[in-house]
Parts: sequence; structure tokens; C-alpha cells
Amino acid sequence: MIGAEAIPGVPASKAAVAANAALDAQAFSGFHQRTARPLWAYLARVLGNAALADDLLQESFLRFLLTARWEEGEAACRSYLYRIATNLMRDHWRRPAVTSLEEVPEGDLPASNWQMDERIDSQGLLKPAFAQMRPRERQLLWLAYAEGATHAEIAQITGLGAMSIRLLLFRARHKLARLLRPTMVPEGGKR
Amino acid sequence: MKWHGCSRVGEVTTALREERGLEGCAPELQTHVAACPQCSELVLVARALRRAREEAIPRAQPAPPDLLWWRAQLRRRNALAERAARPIGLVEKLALGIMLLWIAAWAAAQREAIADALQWWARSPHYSLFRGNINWFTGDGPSWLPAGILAATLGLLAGLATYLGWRGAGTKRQQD
Repeated sequence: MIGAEAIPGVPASKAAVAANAALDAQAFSGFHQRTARPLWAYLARVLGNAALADDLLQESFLRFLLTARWEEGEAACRSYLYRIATNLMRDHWRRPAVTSLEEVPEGDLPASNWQMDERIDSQGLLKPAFAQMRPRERQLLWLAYAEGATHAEIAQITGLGAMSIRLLLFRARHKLARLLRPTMVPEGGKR
Repeated sequence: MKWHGCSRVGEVTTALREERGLEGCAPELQTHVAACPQCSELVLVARALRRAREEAIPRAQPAPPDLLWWRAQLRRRNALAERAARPIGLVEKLALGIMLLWIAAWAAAQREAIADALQWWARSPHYSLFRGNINWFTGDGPSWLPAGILAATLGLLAGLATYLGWRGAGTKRQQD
């Protein structure tokens, strides 16, 4: 565990503690290099706001560092990091606005006024389609298809029931596909 | 058109996750994807999102890991200090409460002596200077009232001094 305290009753030399800290710092550096950019892409795409994604990315790593358990392996750490980020996004959306709607930057609004700036500008097709999706749908789709997470991993990250992921994902996928290619959906086609 | 329950969705999802992609799969699966609305929907969405991810990743500007590490250490230290200071704060409040109670009890026990002292002071020539302002001291009120007020004032001042002393010591301990 990062920065683990000495075991009570067992004297630990300062050199040993420093060596452990250096090892942890090195491990974190590698982990950060592998996960920071994909996590930023997830935050930026789901939030639709690059500046906010920067903030939440940093906060996610800080919280991760305070509670991470390296011994559980990289995959578990990665899931845990994504879970922290997902919770931070949820907190952001739940936070009551202290200003009037007119004063809120458009990027801070979750769905209807969702926008992307030039840093997350992608092909023009996904932008308007993703803007019409709910935050939860964006999360699920991104985790499943951009990150390639399994249903179990998505359930762990989002806190949703593993059984409901399949159905929610199916609906979200169908909605996004319809928005991406409106001609694909037949008249009266079931959702 | 079939929208629910395609049995090959899992197969297509696995193929999309793998390096080879759908193009590297058996032609039979590709033919199925082209014909099945659910699978073609899946491929459309997955490809769009994968492309969006590939485009977004180079645009990320994460903070350097060293800085994050340092900030996390600082936050951890602050949290520990705050946690350590919590019982000290409780002890401070408890000490203040005990001190005030002790002073109140002492003043109640010594009210006769305090009243005598005040009467002696009231008879002294210095008291004449304040007679006009504080003649209610010798009015119809209870005899212990002046002593009580004096004791309460002294008690509050003593308690405040004790509290400030404890706070100062606590701050110094935290800085060390």
C-alpha cells in the first residue's frame, strides 16, 4: 500500500521506509502513465468539458493514492481508479447549483447543453449524438466499447447491478446507433 | 428485423475487443454482422467510440505523477494532523467546562467571604467614587449578588485564559 505506516510495535528504519516510498512512487508513476490519458478521455467524453475533466482526473488520482492497494493488482487498481472518477462525476452532477442557470457555463451542464471543446473535438458524428445521451448512458457505452470493460467491471465501476448492465447497455447502444445512423432504425422498430 | 437476443453479440463483442478486430474474423461472422441489425449496431457504436478514444487520448494533459504523489502525501499528512488534533480539541473543551464548573462551585462556597470583602470595599473611601453608578450593590437585591457577579466575571476570564493557553500549546505542538 502506498505510504503504508510502519507496523505497530515493529521498528522500521527510516531507510527502509524511504526505500518503500520510492518503490511506491515508481510504481505509481508507471500506473499513472498507463491510465491517466484513457481516464481523461473517459471523463472528458462523459462530462463534455475538458477543463472539468482535468480537475476530476487530478482529484481521482489524489483519492486513489490515499486509499489504493497495490497488492490487489493493476486491473483492480484500474477499476478502482475508474470507480473514483465515476463517483466524482456523479457528485459533480448532484452538487446543487449556487448560481442561476444563466450563469452556469454550458460545459458544466450534464446532458441537454452538453458540449465539447476543441481538446475533445472528434469526428463530427459522435458529438451531437453523444450530447443527446444521458450521463449514465455515456458512461456505460464508453466503458463497454471504448475501454472494452466487461459487464462485471462496469458494474464494479458504476455501482450498478451486474444483471442490469446488459439491458441498460443494449438500450444505450440502440439509442446511440439510432442517433449515429438515423436511417438504420426501421419504422416502428422496437427499442 | 430482429432487434433482441442475437446469440452472436458476445462473439462480435469479443472480436471487437481483440487486436485483429472484426476484419480479422471469419468471413461468416462478417456476413452475419452485415445482415444482423443488432450486431451491425454494436459494430457501429463500438467503432465510433474506439475512434473517439483514440482521438481524445493524445489531447489529455495530465499533471505529472511526481506532483500528484507530493500532493497526496501532503493531503495524507494534513488528514493525519487533523485526526490527531481532534481529541486535543475535545480535551480543551472538557478542560474549559471543568474549569468553569470549578470556579462556579468555589464562588458558591465562598459567597459569604466574597460578600464580606465587597462590603468592606464598599465601606472604604475608594468606593465613594463609584457610589453614584453602582448603588444597586447595596440595594434590596440578594446579598450574594455582587459576589456572584464578580466571581462569574473572574471565572469567565480565568476560563478564557486557560482556553487560550491550551489553544496556543496545541498549535505549537502541531507546528512541531
